[in-house]
Amino acid sequence: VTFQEEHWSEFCVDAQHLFPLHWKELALNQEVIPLEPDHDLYNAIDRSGQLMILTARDGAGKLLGYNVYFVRTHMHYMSCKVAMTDMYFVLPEHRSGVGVKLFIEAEKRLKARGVRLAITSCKVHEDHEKLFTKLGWKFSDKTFVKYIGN
Amino acid sequence: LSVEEQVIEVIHSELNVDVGAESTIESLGVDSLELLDLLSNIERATGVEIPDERITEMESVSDIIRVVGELKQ
Repeated sequence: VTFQEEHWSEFCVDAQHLFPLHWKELALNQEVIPLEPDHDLYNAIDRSGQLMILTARDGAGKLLGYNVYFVRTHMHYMSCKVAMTDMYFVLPEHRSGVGVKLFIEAEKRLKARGVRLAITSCKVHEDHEKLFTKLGWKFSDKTFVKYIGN
Repeated sequence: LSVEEQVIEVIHSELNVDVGAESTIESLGVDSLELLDLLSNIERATGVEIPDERITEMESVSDIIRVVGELKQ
């Protein structure tokens, strides 16, 4: 398995086949909010240098998983560059350490970009608190979601 | 015990599977959290501390043995 940074334009070619699996496993409100990535916006953010896409691929180049962050200066603390998780996923049949390696590798690369604060999350129904704690992350926030559409 | 024997013994006792140096981590049937637990037990048994960044090198049991061996030197 190799880990590398990719641009959205190349990443999404293969990732579009994983997104439905990811969405079915984790997304909330699936009955009212369809999967519909905004490729133009992702491309624009990527071109601005505010996106880090780390992928895991096997020897044949097959995409096994990804760990994607938005990277920018913190809007409250301009001296602090912050990385916020956008999404992460590993194909179920490859969940034997690829996920933890994606986080370790991402941390190394984010540090190299000058990031001082990294923020990630997980779903309540797929709780990774133990894993993140072992990797040195601190549990700091609780997030609440409410569907307010019609 | 050699490093190889120590590592294999920990894996065998923790997972109750037959393993050799050539076994891949994927074949052990562990998820990410279980892999970290396994490595913690290997650290305790061998007396080394494995830095997180070395975990990304580990694809097989032989990789774990190599990393632990290097850290013991």
